[in-house]
Parts: sequence; C-alpha cells; structure tokens
Amino acid sequence: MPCHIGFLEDSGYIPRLAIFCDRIFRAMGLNGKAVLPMVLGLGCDTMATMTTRILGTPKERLIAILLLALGIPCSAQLATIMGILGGISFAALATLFGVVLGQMFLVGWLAARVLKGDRSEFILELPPIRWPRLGNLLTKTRLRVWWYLGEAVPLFLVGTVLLFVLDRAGALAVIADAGRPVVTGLLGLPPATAQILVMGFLRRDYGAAGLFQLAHSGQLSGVQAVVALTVMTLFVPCVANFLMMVRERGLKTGLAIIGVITPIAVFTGGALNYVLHSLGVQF
Amino acid sequence: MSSIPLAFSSKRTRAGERPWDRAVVPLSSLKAGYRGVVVEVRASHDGRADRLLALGVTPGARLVVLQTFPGIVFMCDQTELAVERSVADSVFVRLMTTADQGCDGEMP
Repeated sequence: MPCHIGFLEDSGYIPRLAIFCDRIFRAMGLNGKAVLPMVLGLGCDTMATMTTRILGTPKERLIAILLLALGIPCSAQLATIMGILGGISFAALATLFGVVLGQMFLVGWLAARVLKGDRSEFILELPPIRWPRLGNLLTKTRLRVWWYLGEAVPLFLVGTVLLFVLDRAGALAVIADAGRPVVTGLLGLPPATAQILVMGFLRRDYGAAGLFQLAHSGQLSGVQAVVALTVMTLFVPCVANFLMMVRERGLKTGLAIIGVITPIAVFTGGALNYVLHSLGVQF
Repeated sequence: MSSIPLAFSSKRTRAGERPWDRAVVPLSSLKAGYRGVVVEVRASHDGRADRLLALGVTPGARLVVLQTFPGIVFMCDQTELAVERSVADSVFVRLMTTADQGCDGEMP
C-alpha cells in the first residue's frame, strides 16, 4: 500500500486529484489537500489520521479525522465489503457506497457549519507529471513502512491487548449483550452480529473475518449484509484509530468523535434497514 | 502585512497599443491561455500573500493561465500552481500586449 501511494505521489497525480476535489471538499469545510488523507484512508485510517497533519487549520484537521473515521473504509473493510457484497449484487454495493458517501458529505457539511474556526485557502504547487523513479519509490516505501511500524503498530498492539483483556474479563460478552437488542431490533440483524460489531471496533480485521464467515454460512440475507456492512463502515474503524485520534487531538476530542459517530452509524443502519424493508428490496 | 507595492511601474506606452492591453485585472478574470505580469498581491488576514510570495507569485513574475476549471491553474515563471478562485481574486495581473500574447488579446 505505501508503495502504491508513493507511486501516485511521485507521478504528480495526487495534486491534480486535489484540484479536482477542491470544490467538493470546500462544501465540507476542507480544501483539496484533504484528498491525500482520504486516499490514504482507503489503506489504513489510522495512518491517514496521522497524515491530516498536512492540513492547514485545527478545524480542517478535526473534520478530516472525523470523516476518515466515519466513512472511509480501510483496506480490511473494503476487502470484507467486496468479498461479501461482490457475491450478492452490484446494487447492494452501490447502496452501501451511496449511503456511506452521502452520510460523509452530510456530516462534513454540518461539521463545517457547526465547528468553530476557519478553513485554509487552497494554494498548491503542481509538480510536473513524471514517471516515478524506482529507486526513489523504494526508498520512500521503506521509510514509510518504518515510520508506520514505529507509530501505528504499537497502537495495534494496545488494541489487541485490550481485546484480550476484555475478552478474558467477560466484558466483551456484556457489551455484546447490551448491544443485542439494538442490533436485532433496530438493525434487524442476527444476534451473533452484536459480538462481531464490538470485536470489529477493537480489531477491525477480526470483525471483518467474523462477518465474512457469517455471510458465507448463509446466516445473513442480502439486506442484512448491506445493513451490517454499512454500520461497520460508518463506525469508528478500530481501537488503534481511536488511540491515534486521542494522540493527535486529545482525549476529549477523541471521545467526542466516538460519541458523534456511534449514533450516526447505528441510526443510519436502522434507517437503511427500515427503508430497504418497507420498499421490499431484495438484493 | 500590507499589499505588495508595484515593483516597477512603467508608464511607457507603445505605439498602436489599445487601452486594455495594459489593463490590470485580477487573475481570476483571465481565461486559459492569457499571459500577464503580476503587479500586486493583495494581503489578507491569514498570510495568503506570504504563501503566494514564497511560491514565486511576486510583482514582476510572468504568468500564463493554463486552466480555470475546476481550479485556477497557472504557470508562474517556472512553477505550476493551483489556487482557488478567492485566492486568484487577490492576485492582480497586467495583461501582456497583443504581440506578446499570441492570441487576440481581448479582455475576458
């Protein structure tokens, strides 16, 4: 992944993408430069949260971090989405991305109006379009990977330890039980998904794998799969991402982001479930 | 920071010049293909002028507008820059004469 991003950067493509996206991002209180964290977020939201440092103002950084956590599916999520919905139908995939992108835009638009502060102006130097040099690309990839290992992996370890401790202490089951009525009632999902969604927060890849198994053993209908994946995508990606938010923006902001995103994810899922059922959609 | 003054203010006019050939207009009003010389960069509260100056958008720099949608992209001396419209509003450019311009030189 760092290698692909490095290729795009060195070729001079990303700044041009930034110009293209400037107008869309402006509506969300950001400027075109925010496209870089968003593209990186498709790889790993935790890493992308770090790269929001390139943005000009605290408000922009906060919005970018919020949108990353809310809507940008990381590679683990993307793989799950593609793996499950790819086998169902294109319409299911389009519904999920439509809902997620729409929600991101809406939240960004609101955040731009609610939060205090300014956005910075878009002034960007464009490097010429060039074929990247392999040597440079490899060096860059190596440095990136080292940086990533140093900065993000400890957080993943913390996440895993937390998961282990919670699991052993039985807290995981308690949280899952508490969430079960919401999951089965509002979201119309099988009870087993409660546990998976909770696990998914602590380690997204575990959650992804769990959902994948559930779908493959035929326990999820098309609509249920779309709803479950939408909630999962909208939810804060993983505990490493949360810890990174705390490190970048402080505990208060980190908790506030969780506090905003969780209801959005659950209610969007609930609304989607309701709409799909009342329209009688079958994927 | 106050506005950047004219680095050189040439009052000379060449024979056969039309009035608008030497007009000073904001960068945001130019279409793709127009050439000009930066005359003034208006300052704003957030150090916009400083950033532009650091990137070489200084009085006397020559620029060519490359595209105006979705963002304004121009070549300023050897640097290709992209800015949003509100930034381009604060850069004032004197259009080059018809002969220099290599196009019809009409005011946009």
